[in-house]
Amino acid sequence: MTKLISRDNLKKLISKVLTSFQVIAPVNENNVSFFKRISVYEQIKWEDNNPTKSPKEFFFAPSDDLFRYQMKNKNILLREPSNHHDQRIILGIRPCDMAALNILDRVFLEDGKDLLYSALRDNTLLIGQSCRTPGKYCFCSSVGINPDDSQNMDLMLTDIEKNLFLVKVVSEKGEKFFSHFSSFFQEADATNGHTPVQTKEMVDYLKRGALFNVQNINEWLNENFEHPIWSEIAAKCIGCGVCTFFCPTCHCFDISDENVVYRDSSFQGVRRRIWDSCSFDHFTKMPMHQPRPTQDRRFRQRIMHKFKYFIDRFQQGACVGCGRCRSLCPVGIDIIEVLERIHCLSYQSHGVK
Amino acid sequence: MENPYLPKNVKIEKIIDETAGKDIKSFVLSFLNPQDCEAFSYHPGQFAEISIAGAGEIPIGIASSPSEGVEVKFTVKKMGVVTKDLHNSSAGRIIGLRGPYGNGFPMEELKGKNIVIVGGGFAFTTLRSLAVYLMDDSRRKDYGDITIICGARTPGDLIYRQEVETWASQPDLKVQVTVDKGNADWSGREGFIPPVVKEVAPSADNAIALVCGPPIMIKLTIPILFDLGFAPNKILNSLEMRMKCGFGKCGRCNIGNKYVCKDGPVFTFEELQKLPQEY
Repeated sequence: MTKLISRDNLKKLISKVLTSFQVIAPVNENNVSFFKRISVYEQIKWEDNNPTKSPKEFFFAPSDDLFRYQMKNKNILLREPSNHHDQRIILGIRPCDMAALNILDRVFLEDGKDLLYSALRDNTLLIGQSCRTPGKYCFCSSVGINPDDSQNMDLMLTDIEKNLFLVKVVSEKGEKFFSHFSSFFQEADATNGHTPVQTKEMVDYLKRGALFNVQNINEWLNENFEHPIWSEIAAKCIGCGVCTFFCPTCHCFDISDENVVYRDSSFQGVRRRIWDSCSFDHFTKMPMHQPRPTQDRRFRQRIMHKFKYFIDRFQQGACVGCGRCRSLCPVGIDIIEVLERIHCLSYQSHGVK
Repeated sequence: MENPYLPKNVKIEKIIDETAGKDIKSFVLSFLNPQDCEAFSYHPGQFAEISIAGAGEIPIGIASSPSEGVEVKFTVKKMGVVTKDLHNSSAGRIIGLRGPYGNGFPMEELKGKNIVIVGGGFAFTTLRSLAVYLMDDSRRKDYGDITIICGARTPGDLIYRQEVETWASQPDLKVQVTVDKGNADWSGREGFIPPVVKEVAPSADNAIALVCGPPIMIKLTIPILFDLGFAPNKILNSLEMRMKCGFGKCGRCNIGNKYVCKDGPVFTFEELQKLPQEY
């Protein structure tokens, strides 16, 4: 089902739903763009480029309480966090970040459900937004994602005129939402169709197509766990973990306890899961043994996880081409350079495909 | 459905010093809630997360056999924050436990086979679970010959020493115990495990070997097993990694595309040969 909504009506709609939903949308504060819970529509900053931070943290936070515990008179009381959350809307999620959420779904919902994640996922309506122009670091089209992909969204907005959006009602959840607020929408013109607004850069970006072939990368990785490029590329990596923390698909975590101890030696605290990173030495370190003792091995793990291990396990890659790791790496390690290099090496070893 | 990270309350029923150095202790735990006990259905080779609120969690192989009853035993070496806290416990303390996790030993595949158990040092824990399970009266007939070769650095480092000595006197078991270096009250074997395996030379005919121990022991034992005719898919190892969640979410314990917590911790040597050398 396709409808239209004017910018004015979108503003009215969001202002209306703010009374009954939590609304999370892109904002810009101190020149940093990110997703944030808003209280008024005016906080939203509609920018051409995807926010620096993905909405990952609204489903899998940097620190999530698993449970609280209290120790009193040698008895332990455990208290689970409430699984009841207000209904939420995430507005303006881009196709790459949506694809990333789908990757997190595979990890957290399949084969043993993570209840914290699934509760947040269930109570959130996702209103996507097509990209009209590519960001400087974007490469979604190289990993099979389209800048107007509505897959897994509930509703999808696409600019068709300056103040008019095409609205694709994608899911059942989206349909329910639409029928509840249908008065804000108008019928789409079935005969003329509507052309999305795209910049010349977007046209060129789409024309250029993929910078590398994921299949070739995957095949090369199957055979080149040991290769000089790992230490060459990782030589400048400082292991800060920025690439993994900003990655919308990275999902590794640690579990740790934090205590408050009282004078009578009773104590209470919380067990948390906290974002962790394969870039860190401690990630795999055991008292007597460290399977990944050097930075090049940890760097290799990151590439292998995204372009081989995840594909082996889930038949899909774990990179969505958002480009955040490229843009934020403090020492300028560029995943595109790495992948293009592997792509070339795969041609050298297998001939042109 | 319940929160999979939530530990169940267990009581430390008994603490056993396993070594002269008192750095390895066994903890016998019982569930406070009978339903939790019933839900904790395990087989040898699996592990669980022991939880101490305020200190954290550690993944530990299960040392007891389900044939021994409802109490669950873990043998723990004093290493870090959680294990130190656990070592400072007294019987009666309430702690947490969640699991069981991991594939464990392939019990169905072991049926009808001759079993060769090779365990070095502290890694003998899950092999103890297996040995007790196999020797259970109701099951012993399902398995062929059982050979157990185990050892430690010194006599004081031998875990389950008394128990292993009683096994040695059983007619239906072949048991060899060795220490790297003996002392005044040690009259048994002296020497490393791999040469003992070579000397005992268990037949590879219809046999499966299960090898757990320090990396160097495993490295030197495998070629001897090959020489004896054991195929790589008839040699089993159990691996350790820095696991946190225990059920394939936290992403820490992968070796190549395998998660040690879910796909392991037990792998055949054939499987390990296909994985990157990152363990």
